[in-house]
Amino acid sequence: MSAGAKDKTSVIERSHAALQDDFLRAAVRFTTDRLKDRKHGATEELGRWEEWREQGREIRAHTVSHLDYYLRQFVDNARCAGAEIHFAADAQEASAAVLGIVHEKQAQLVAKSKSMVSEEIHINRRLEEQNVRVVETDLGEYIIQLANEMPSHIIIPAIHKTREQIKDLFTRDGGQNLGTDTKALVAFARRKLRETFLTADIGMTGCNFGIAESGSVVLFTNEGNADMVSALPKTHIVVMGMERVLPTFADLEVMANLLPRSATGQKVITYMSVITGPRRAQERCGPEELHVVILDNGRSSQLGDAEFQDVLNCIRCGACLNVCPVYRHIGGHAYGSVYPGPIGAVLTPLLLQGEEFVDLPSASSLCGACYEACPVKIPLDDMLVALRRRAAESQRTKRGERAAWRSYAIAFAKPGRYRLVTRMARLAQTPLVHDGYIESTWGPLMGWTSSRHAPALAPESFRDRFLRMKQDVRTIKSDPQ
Amino acid sequence: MNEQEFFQNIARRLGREFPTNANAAAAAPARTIVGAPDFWQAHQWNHQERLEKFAAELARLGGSAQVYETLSALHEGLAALLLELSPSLIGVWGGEFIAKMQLQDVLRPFAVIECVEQPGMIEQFAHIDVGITGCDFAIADTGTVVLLAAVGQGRLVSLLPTVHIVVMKASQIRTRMGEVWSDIELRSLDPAHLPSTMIFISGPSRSSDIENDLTIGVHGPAAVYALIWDDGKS
Repeated sequence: MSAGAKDKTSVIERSHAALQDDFLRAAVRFTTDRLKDRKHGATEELGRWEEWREQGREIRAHTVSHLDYYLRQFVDNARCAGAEIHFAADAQEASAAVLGIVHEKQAQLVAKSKSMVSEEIHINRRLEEQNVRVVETDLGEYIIQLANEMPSHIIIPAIHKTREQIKDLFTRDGGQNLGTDTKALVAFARRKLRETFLTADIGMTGCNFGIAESGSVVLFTNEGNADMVSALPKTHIVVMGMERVLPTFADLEVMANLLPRSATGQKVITYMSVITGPRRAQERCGPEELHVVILDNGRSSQLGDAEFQDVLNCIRCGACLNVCPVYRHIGGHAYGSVYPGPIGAVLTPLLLQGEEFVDLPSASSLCGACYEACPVKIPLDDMLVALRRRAAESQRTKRGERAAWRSYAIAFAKPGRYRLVTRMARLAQTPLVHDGYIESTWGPLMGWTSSRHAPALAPESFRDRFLRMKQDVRTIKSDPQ
Repeated sequence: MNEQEFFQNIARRLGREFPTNANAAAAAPARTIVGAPDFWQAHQWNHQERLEKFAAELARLGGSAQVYETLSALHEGLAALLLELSPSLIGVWGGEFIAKMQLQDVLRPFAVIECVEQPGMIEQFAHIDVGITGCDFAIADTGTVVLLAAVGQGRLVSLLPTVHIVVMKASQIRTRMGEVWSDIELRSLDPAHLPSTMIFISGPSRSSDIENDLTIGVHGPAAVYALIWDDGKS
């Protein structure tokens, strides 16, 4: 699988490319509008949504702040049910754990159900390097795997593909005389993937929630592919982020209400499967072995950090993507990261410390729509600001930008300097002003003014005007009649 | 990574010297908020409301629910449905299920395989057109049926066929999901005694992955029928 568009480009450069793609923009807008509207309908129907959100926030925040306790409980109970647990500090260790199992089983074919965390550890690439075939079985993921691309949306990965493109991809994969009719395309995928389910040596899934009190792994899908993948092959590997725990089944009721509504505006997910250990001794359906790979990969660094610990409360619904004015214009690929949208702009630089994604928090208008949409009330907009501040503090911003802010600080520190600077600016803008607006494809403001009007500085500043007005008032006072 | 280090790191980040001992009951973190909001937990429908709501919600999801006054009326309904579907092979829950619901006569005209735990079971069931199961619980609020795996009640009966038929009793319907968890908790929360899988099915398999166009029957069944015997207990 390709690593996506990211190749030392900036998020701005990648956005330029995305903005040229008219189908992408239309498709993203159409889909996100629909998801957004449906979510609105589904939350209205449920009623008291704010109380549900608060409940969800409380449960997630409590769990994360006692993660040592609940994860321990989950691990002990999962073992008691017969699961084998692996711990991975990073992506490397997680793929090594998976590859170890794959080698031990001499597996040739791995069937996968959609999971963001497996994208995070790039397991498909690792498996293919070892000549192990891996097949994505979520319809959307299957499509983008055939196209050799990355998901562009957490919930609807192939949001950017047209039915003609899908038809062509399926034809290359062996489909004959396929039309562009959805039913025909889906029927092909059903037939094709059914073979995969029945012949795969290993099934691999993520984990929506782990239940501490029982050691259960909970999977949500609409298609039923996670059920196929977890029930049919002899070995089931679960890759789970270490924070995906809930204390009790009672808490799962809250998430089962919040997650589908926030993700797609559905009242209920079609399949919720609660898996506790491998099949029992007398059973023949279900895997002989259940492996759970628990992944840290930068998550523990957020624990105890007052500004960012709450990012671990995320339940991966994608609601913040659908309302984000930036995501809605540039789509998922322009972020260049596994997790796109506001959650991706926060999570990516936190999980992968370093230079590469330091510009992502700037791909935001700070409007706060993401916080409003979040079913567990993660203050994503505050986190975006905090990340920008950190980038500035660690001198990771551009030299020009730093110089600009330094000059700003100098100019705005003293009233005299401020007046001097605005006077100079008023003079300097003269050749660019037409009818009170600046329109220009050059100059320091060209990033804005080359495509939009910027209001020009007023001919007289408020301070100058105020001085004049004060004099007028004095004159009136001293001469009341 | 070493397990102990993994937990030690989490504890340290959270400002604790050592990880909290999950085996000591006294160490359990105090919680004031557990599960659904109080107003939701207090919410209760009566027998008739649950029955109607379940049927309506399942219909909204693209499934179909039919209520029968007597078990023999249900048998007639099932016979008519099977006649219409004319499946070449039916898979059915094993164990006591057929006898308990007295389905022998209805199933006699058809080629039927029972879910018996034996090697090769998956290959056999890969060819069924219709799967007939019972359920352990149902949820009125969401039109959901809950199937607990057990010997003879493998996941594949409800998963592999094109059509899934659930033969159930009205008394199995709860108002909301939380009640199902309370009931399961009453039986046992011991991980070794919990069913290996507990499946919550709400309508037929669906996807909107091709240009947002909703399609039914992607991997799981394309049709779900619930035939409910109104056994009147509430």
